[in-house]
Amino acid sequence: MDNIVQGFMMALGPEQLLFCFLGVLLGTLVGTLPGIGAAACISIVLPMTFGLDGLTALIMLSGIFYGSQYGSSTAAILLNIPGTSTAAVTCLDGYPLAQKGKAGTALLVTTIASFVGGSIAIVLLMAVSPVLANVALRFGSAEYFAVMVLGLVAALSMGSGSAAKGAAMTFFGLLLGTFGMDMTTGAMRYTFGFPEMTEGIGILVLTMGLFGISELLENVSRRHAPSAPAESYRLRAMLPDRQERRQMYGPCVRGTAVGSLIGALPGAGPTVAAFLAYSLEQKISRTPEKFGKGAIEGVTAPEAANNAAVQSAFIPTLSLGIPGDAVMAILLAAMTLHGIIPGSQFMTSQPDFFWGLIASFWIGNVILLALNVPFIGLWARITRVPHHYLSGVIAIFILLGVYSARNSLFDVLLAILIGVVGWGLTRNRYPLAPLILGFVLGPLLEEHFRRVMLISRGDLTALWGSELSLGLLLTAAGLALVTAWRQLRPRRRSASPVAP
Amino acid sequence: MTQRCDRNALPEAAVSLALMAGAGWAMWQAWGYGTGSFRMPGPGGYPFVLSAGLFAAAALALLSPLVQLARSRRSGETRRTHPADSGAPERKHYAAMLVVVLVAWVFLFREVGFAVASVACVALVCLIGGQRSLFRAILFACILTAICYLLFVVLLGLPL
Repeated sequence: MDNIVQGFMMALGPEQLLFCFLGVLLGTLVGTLPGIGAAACISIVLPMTFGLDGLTALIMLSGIFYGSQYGSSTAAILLNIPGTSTAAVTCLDGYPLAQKGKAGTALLVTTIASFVGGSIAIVLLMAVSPVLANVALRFGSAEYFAVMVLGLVAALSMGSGSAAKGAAMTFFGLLLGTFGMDMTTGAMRYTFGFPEMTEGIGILVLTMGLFGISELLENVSRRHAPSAPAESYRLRAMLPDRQERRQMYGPCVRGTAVGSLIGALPGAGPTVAAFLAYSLEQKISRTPEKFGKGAIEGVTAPEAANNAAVQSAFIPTLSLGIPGDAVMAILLAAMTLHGIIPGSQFMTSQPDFFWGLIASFWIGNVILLALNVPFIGLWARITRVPHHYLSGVIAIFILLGVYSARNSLFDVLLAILIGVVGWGLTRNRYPLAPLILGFVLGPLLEEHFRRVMLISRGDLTALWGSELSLGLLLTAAGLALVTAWRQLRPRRRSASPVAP
Repeated sequence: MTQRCDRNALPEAAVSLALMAGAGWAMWQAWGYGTGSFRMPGPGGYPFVLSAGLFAAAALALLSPLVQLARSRRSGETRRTHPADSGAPERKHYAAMLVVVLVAWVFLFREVGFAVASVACVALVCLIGGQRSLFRAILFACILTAICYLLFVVLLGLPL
């Protein structure tokens, strides 16, 4: 309890409050505007946080992540375009609700569901993270190696589309992580003769290229959908009626439960959680035919789920140092850049930092509620910002952001090259999230593997020597087999509108 | 006789082939670094395993577009509609122009400095993005460059 109080004391400092506000404001803005995701925004903002202390920087960057989940439903409901991938399922019932003249109600319902989902998941985060961190204290290199393998396989199995493409991207990311000087032997690997490559590819260069520049290229290569209709959003008109309120409660609780559980799993993310919550509601509903035509349950459950998942995704990252998805991988890299090493020792060595960050999540959620409910009309108007202005802003911030990290124009050229490669990959349905996960986990995986081999004098069985590592590796193998079976079995023609 | 083929499968196959070629090159390089043994892993051992994994996964990913190509040749189908396709017209040459502008920023930055490079880059990006008025594009670029100068140079102390 003392830790929680201490955490709130730290998070309520004027500087922390200001940057928490800026983070969630920026996150909502990014979520509202289709075309730029949380990953790109965090990458762009990261160099600007170098002047801040670690906690304040992380409060701001995390705020962008969960703030974007709130904002993403606005474009989904008003334009039928999800601001982020997590809001794709909100389009299914949100847009029909808007067409029925219930846009305001849908926006309010999603905001309330987001707040409930996020708040409950924060309580879970407070309860589970210390327990998991205690377990992780007993981890050796073999166990860490096994957890990372499980995380990478889980990311593949939960992802949509081709598992072969996901596996290719995981290996690609792991391989990119080996570029630069080998820390054990001092040998140069894949530096192409450039001295700038000695330290390898920077995480900022990679994420700005993959998420920032490739999204920019995608935006200019497609014409955009029409803007939201001009409507006035008054609070009284937005309030759900008695029947709609009754329809909200169950889906809100169930969505939160699904999101909290799925988000805490390494490899699974808020998008999967939102789709699962929607499927669950559709299956247990007495009126499943209403789904897809403007059901309140169809917007409540996925919004509660994706916000709960975003908060519980911090559990494996903070307690084990293993990110669950691409955005968490970037946040993990941001922590490292600020000199913070998350993992089993994190909570005991830096309790103020850990609890301060957790407390800021809840404060951020309250700020988001205050930002979103009275200003729904403003967010709706923001969806009408011309994309050419937005492209200009994104372009210059990416260029200056990459340059500012090491004052290197070589890094800027590398980011542009990576952006073009990333654009080509996404256009051909190669997922980028496993690439980032692989890139972040790659060096750690190699380090733990080498350590196990050195200690065991080359005995491979040492990797599954303990019950825990054996269990984790068997789970990973089982997941890999299930994924392979799912990919190879003959496809049935599905009538379901939902496919994660 | 000219065969028609699936326009989506061709680039997919090309990407898989490019990944396989890259993985093959990476394996060859890794072998050169020295793979070592399990007892004493060399600097090339881990990248060699990863490159082999990338090669195998990319080869598996190649199967799907090859099957689609074969099917489309049989049926004469020319275009497969994917759910991800929004139906909006594609403007790939705009993306190419954007890449040229971004690369040009790097060289302009080195030759004439931050301000001129950034104004030119932002104005051109706006025009590529759909802004029709040159005056508005330049005005917006000037304002944005001034904001960036304040943020990066004055506030963050970056030597631009």
